[in-house]
Amino acid sequence: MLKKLNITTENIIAAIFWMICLIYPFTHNPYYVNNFTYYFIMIIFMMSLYVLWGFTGIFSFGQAAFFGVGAYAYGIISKTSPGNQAIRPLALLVAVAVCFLSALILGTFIYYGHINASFIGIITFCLSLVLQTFMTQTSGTEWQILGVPLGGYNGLNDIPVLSVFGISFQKQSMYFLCFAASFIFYLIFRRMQHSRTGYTLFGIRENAERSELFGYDTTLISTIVFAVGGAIAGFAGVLYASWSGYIVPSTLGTSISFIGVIIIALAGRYSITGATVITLLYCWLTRFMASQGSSYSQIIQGIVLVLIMLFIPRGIGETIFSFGDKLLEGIIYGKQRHVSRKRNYEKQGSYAEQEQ
Amino acid sequence: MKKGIFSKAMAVISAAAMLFTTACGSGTAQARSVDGDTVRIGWIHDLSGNNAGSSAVVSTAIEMATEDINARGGVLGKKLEVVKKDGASNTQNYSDAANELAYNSDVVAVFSSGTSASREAIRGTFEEAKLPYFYSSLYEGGVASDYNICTGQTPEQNVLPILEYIQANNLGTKIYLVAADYNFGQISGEWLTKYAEEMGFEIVGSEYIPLDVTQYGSTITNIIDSGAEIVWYDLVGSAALSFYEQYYNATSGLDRDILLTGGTPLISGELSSVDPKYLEGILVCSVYFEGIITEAADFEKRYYEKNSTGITDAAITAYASMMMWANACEIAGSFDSDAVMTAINSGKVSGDSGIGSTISIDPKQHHCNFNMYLCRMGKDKKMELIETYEDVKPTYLSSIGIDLSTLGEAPNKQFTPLDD
Amino acid sequence: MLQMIYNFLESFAYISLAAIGMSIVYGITGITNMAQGEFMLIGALVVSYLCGVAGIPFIIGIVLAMAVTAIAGIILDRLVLVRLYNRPGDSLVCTYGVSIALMQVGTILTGVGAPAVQSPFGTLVVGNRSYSVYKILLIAISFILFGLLYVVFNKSRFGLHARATMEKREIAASLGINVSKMNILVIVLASALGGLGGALYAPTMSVTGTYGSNFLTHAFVAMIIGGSNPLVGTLMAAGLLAVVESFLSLYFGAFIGRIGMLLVAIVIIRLIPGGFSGLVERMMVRLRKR
Repeated sequence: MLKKLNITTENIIAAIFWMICLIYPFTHNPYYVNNFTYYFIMIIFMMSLYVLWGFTGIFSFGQAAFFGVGAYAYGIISKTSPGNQAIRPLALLVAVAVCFLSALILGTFIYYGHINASFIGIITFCLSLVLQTFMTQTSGTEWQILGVPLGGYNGLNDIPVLSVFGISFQKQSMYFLCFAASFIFYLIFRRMQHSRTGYTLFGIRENAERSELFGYDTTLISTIVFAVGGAIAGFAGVLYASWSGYIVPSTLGTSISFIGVIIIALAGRYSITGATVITLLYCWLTRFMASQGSSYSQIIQGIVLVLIMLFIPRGIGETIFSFGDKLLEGIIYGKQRHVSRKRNYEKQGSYAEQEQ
Repeated sequence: MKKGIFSKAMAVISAAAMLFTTACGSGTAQARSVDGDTVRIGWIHDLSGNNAGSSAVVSTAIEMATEDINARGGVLGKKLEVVKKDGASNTQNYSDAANELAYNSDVVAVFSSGTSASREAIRGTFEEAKLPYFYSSLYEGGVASDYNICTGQTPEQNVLPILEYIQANNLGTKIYLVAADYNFGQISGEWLTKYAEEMGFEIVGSEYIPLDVTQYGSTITNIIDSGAEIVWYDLVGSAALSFYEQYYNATSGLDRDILLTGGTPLISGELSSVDPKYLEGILVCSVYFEGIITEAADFEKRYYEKNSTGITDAAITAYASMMMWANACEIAGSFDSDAVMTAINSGKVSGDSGIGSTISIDPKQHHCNFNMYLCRMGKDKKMELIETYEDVKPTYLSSIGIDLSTLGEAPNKQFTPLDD
Repeated sequence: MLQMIYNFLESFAYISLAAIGMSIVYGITGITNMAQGEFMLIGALVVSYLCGVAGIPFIIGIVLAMAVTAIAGIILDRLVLVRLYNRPGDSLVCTYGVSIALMQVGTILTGVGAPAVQSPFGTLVVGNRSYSVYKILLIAISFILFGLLYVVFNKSRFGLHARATMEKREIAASLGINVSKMNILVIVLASALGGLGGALYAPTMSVTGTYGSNFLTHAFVAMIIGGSNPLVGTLMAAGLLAVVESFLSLYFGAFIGRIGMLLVAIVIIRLIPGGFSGLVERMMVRLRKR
């Protein structure tokens, strides 16, 4: 019965989470609201990695590169005529398109080149480094695209705020734009987990060869997923450029990719709700510790990461959700707990098979 | 399905909320009112991360300046308090800190030291919030801003004395440039090239090296092969400290003398981390060096009671920036941003440098003039003073026709030699 | 010309000393140890404080550095790595966590930078150039190290067991090889080598919290394109990367050198998925068939 009403721990936590996000701007001043927007941008970025890694098993270290490319593309195009508001939506579309295409090309190189999937991480890692190193040295004025100097290490500054149909997205309006975007992505991916597309991707994640034998064109599908992941990361990058007003080469490098990997490792690759909530908590915590001037924040991060990877390998998200579900069943079914435990055992049998 | 209704409801609510809040407009900077007995300023610098080493001196300088200001009764009768934010050698942190200071605090002015990248990322925030912003590090020059005052030395002030000395003493005409591969390094390189060629030097080679490189074998080979007589060093950061040892070992048997000089030797913590043997003979020109300015003895003694890391010019310019700001407030008679900036634009603002001289802000360029000291490093880290240049003024912005003395008319951008 | 060879060898020694520890662990246990850089940091710190401050002779400092790092390796193994042997895929993220924690500890300890250690010996003058005798020594050490490892792996009992574990863990275990003891020994060896490398390079670089990360990129890339055989793989990988980087840096600058090295790595992985080890293995199989 619980199943029919969809009252699972996951849904409860998701509902609470999104409700809090919805109400937040009405109870806090614009400065805090503006700060909070950053978390939604990171959630969208994390989702780009989640589609790749959580759904399809593609371990990509290059999402930060697409994030940065999206931000730079938007920044460059919108700065070609800074006062002109009409060019900004175009900049957004072009930026996302550029990311999609470049991810498509890279994906083709990887998949149609039959590179072992385990090397995707390394290749994307190296490429991010190359891109970051390259962008850092573009500080001379000879480095220009469409008349906008790339700025090298300093990056692009004074990037115009995104505006569509006359609405300029700043502070509260930006908050709601990012909130809506991340919420929509969340719903889409949540739905996908039970759809045919989702199952196809899971199939590739679990055993690509087997999917291939079943007749799925894994090469094509993986390439397309990779391209979509790049596009989503690029979209997050555009939002970031508009929100912060600047983009620097270090954003293109590997550190943000690492953060994405850490968050998904922490939250578990099997739950997008977990990943979403953990993204917010993690980003909030790291920023909080940085603002306190704590020198110990990195040590704590490292230790927490190690502990969670060692002892809760399926991730906190899934562990909490299944624990919560058992609690709920206990509360609602009460005396019938023994019966449901037996059913759980049967279920667990098949999980044990899967875990191998 | 429950999910379906839920999601549709959320979509409607968020769309409505968006329109509602757009109509309300975005937040504005808080009006600053200083109540009570304290006035607060903000300081953003690198307390942790890659650049923490060269920033440690700034913390002590801030402390000393605060003590000195409060000892003479504070600013306009109010006690001075500093709100410190850690930039953590990371531009994102600078941006966050700047936003917080500009929109969620009651500081009346903000100071920062750190890379040029961090300055450029936050300069816009303070220009928009109309808050006086002092950048105290040495840098590549060219910032023309309404609210940003740069209190560190710029290439036009330290490159020329060195080149003149080299020419006067026939130390060579062939220069090999080694600079950090980012904006500061590249623009400094442009400055060197410009002045050197004007004075008749020959640039026999130049290399721009990424910030994290620690192995300089190929570069040093190129230096030797090019026949260079002077190496102009503009590297920055802890990775660059490895250069000295490798350079010394590779050139010690050479048949000719190569002079090591430049804009940035000794500012990245060399005095603490590099063996003195590798630093002998370096020629430098800066606002300050330890042990050569007699009037600075008291300052140095007081400094070492608090901190054992070697003092660099970063400490002096940070100290002076706070002094100058206090002076500007006193001339203006208030802490209001526009009043303070107008006082600065009148040309009367100056401050104690702590080392026996007075530093003043040029009203048309928003940069400062300094006494520059040309020195050579002797054995065991003993600095030998060669010449003192008094009151060296900034010249670049005026030379391209910029006049910042009227508030609200600045271009608010950074110019480089390639622009003109 | 001599200068080019010298630069190449210098680069080769640098990459080898950085990568060998990581390769050994990866080859025998399958674990990617992102904390290898921090082992090098520990070695460098030991040498900096003992030799730079307390004035202990350099050689003793190095031996002590290796000992301390080996102990650190054992601690890491017992606490963390032992749980990862069954899931090497998680090892990257896990050891990355260890790495960032240790890096921050290093930063807190060293502040501006650890006390400087002078590089011993002087310079050798050949023609118009001087070469650091110390650097030449490092090059010699890297070759000796490969030689020693060759002897250990091919002529000793331990080496035999190690090679068996490298090929097929389960079968080696069923033949009676104590695989868990093998793991500990491997970690001790790898961390001691890391400490050695870190200590050796300490006089030539500034030692701050991020000391280890200087080596990590090269080590990681060399490990990957070297493949699972730490000897053959690392040797060839270091050789190729050193050639590419030193050649490109000399003529086009450090930036192009860095990018060239990374691009070459990507091309190699694309062409030879098993790394150099895989390539050599296939060649050996083909040779034996004749």
